[in-house]
Amino acid sequence: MGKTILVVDDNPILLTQMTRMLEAEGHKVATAKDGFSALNMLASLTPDVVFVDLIMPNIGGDNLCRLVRKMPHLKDCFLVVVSAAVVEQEFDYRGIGADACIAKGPFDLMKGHIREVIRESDLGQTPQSGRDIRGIETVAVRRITQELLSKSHHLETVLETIPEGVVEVLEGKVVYVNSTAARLFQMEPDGFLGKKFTVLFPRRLQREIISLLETPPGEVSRLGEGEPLSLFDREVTFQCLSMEEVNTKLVIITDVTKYKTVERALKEAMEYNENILHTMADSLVVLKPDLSISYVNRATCDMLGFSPHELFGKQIDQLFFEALSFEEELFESVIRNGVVTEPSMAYRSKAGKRIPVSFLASAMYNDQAPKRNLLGIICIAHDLRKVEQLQQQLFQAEKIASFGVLAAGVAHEIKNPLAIILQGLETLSSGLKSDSGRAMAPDIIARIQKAALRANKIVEGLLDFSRQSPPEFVAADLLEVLRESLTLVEHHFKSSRVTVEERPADVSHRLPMDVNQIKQVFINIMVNAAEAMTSGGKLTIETGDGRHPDGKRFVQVVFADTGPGIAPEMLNKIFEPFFTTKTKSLNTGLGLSVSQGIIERHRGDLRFESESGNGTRVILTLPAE
Amino acid sequence: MIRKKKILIIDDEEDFSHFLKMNLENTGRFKVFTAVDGQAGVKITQRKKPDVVLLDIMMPGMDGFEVLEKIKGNVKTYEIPVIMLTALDNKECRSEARGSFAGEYLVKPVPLDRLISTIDRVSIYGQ
Repeated sequence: MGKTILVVDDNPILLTQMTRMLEAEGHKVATAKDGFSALNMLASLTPDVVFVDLIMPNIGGDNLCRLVRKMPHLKDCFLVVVSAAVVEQEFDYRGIGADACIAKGPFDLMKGHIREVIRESDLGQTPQSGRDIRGIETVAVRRITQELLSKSHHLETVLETIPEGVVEVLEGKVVYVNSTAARLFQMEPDGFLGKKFTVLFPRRLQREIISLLETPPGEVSRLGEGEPLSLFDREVTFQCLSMEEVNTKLVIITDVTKYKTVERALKEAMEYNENILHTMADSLVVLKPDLSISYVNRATCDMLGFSPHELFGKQIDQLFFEALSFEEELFESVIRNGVVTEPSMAYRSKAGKRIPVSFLASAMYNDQAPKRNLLGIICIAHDLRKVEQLQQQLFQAEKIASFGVLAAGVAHEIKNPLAIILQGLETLSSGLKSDSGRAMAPDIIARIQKAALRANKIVEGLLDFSRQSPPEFVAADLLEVLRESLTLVEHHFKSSRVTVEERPADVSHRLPMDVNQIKQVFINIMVNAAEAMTSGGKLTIETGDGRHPDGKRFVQVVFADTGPGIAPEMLNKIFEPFFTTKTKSLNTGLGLSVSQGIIERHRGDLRFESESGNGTRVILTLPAE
Repeated sequence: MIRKKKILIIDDEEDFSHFLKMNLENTGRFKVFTAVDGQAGVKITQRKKPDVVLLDIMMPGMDGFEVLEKIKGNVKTYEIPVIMLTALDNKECRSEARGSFAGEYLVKPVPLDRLISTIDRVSIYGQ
């Protein structure tokens, strides 16, 4: 009886030969040139026998057999493998679900086997009872075939081993898939063959896959490079190679999940660091070795009112409020010692405002070893305005507190002149009644006036005292300030016939100070000296420097006069407010207590050495840093 | 005729002593001596034996309380009433003054009549 037979072989001559032979024997014959076309046909064809060539493109014979065996409507189909390679290659046709196997040889010899198997298909013989490969004895081993098979096997091994997924797509359907790709799609390889490629993807990706497959011949297109696509639980990128010679497309699927995870972790770490710099309350400025700005954090921009690009590339000294005379030394010191602090510095805001800061610079190297490559310098500036504000408040509080102490002194100092005025007015009013009394009036009036003026001076001294403010530190040269103060009091010396001799030491007199306040102190000391030397004398001013036991450097000025000196019992009273040994008309007695306060706020020291009759030495010490 | 009372003013404010001396002597009842510092004051107290001493507290060198100690610590002078006459007024000073001699304490500026009535009181009734 005539059967429906499908012959699948990429060799057109064999196809023709078999068709002619089988049709002559009354069978209906359909042909396909590869596994792919065969599958298409088998969708609607139910042949009784299928002859399958083993080695074909676009779904090879072994895969085709496996697929056929999976199709329910073909369960009774008799599968015959026809292969040229059965001699050179180990082959278990039963393992792939075939019922028989014929070795390809001269066609005449094959005919007999062909008829044989058709007959056996009728008998419904199961594969287990089938015989070995028919016709194998007529075929000789061919070395070329061996080598080609070996190479083909080798290539297939390579494809199976590479970590990339490889899918070959013909007319939109899968004809080959390697195990990596199968794993990525979470399917068995057999599940792919002959299926439409796009169907494998979730709906949201299908449009992109379709356009990927439309790659023109000879070109490569990519999908998901910047933003990988997520396929089940992995992140992947696609490459589609469209070859010119064949009309299949090769889709390479790369699993970038691990890479993307690392990238994300890195990005997170970077963002975290950025966040730290962004949140920092202090200003951070990073300099290149040439002292130009390479980075500023948000706090810097907030503090100074600049935007970051306004600062990039600028030299750091453009941020300083005053040109630092010691700037070169500062940065050399940073590079030498690694870290430098400048507790009283000022930045300049965009609007030109002075921003007092506590400055800290450190050198940044690679390899964390000194004297290696200097990468840059990190400058941190702590805004002192708030601190200064608090200091002001504290100072005010202290002043108010000290006023309580002062008030008693003030009361006394003003009450005395008032007592004189009142008593004097008594005397005057009773004196006016008599001639002798009236004669004394001018004298009485003069004394009353003196007292009134004195009271006024007390009040002024108190106002001066009340005007004290916390020191505003700048770096200045003590010697220059001293000389400026000298010019202000020169006339005192000339009128008292006092000569002044300067003996400045050859040291750096530069230190942080409030220039006006220190001038005030110098003036106070020098005027006192001049007033002590009522009958002339000499004032010697010596400077020097040294180190405290704790290592901190200081600068010292000593004023030595040739006046009468101060008696020992007075020495500890001289700083008391209102204490004065001078005629009460001119002096408020507040000068030294104010001076002492100023020096204390500079963290310095003011001391007197004196003996009666032996002159006085005033020793002023100020910290140099 | 009633003897004029001898008053010693110990005060470093010369103009004040000057005026007070004139005002007291103008009443015709007092003879006034002055001392400009504590040491001189103690000496004059011993020599002249005034009826009343007017004593300032805030003076350079020996202050009023030291002078008071010296006067009260000397048999020749301890009976002499002392009026602390000072511009300094606070609780501590007052209680110290009272504690040391249960004497008078007046705060400058004090009206003349009040001063005179106090002088009269301490000199007649003692302390």
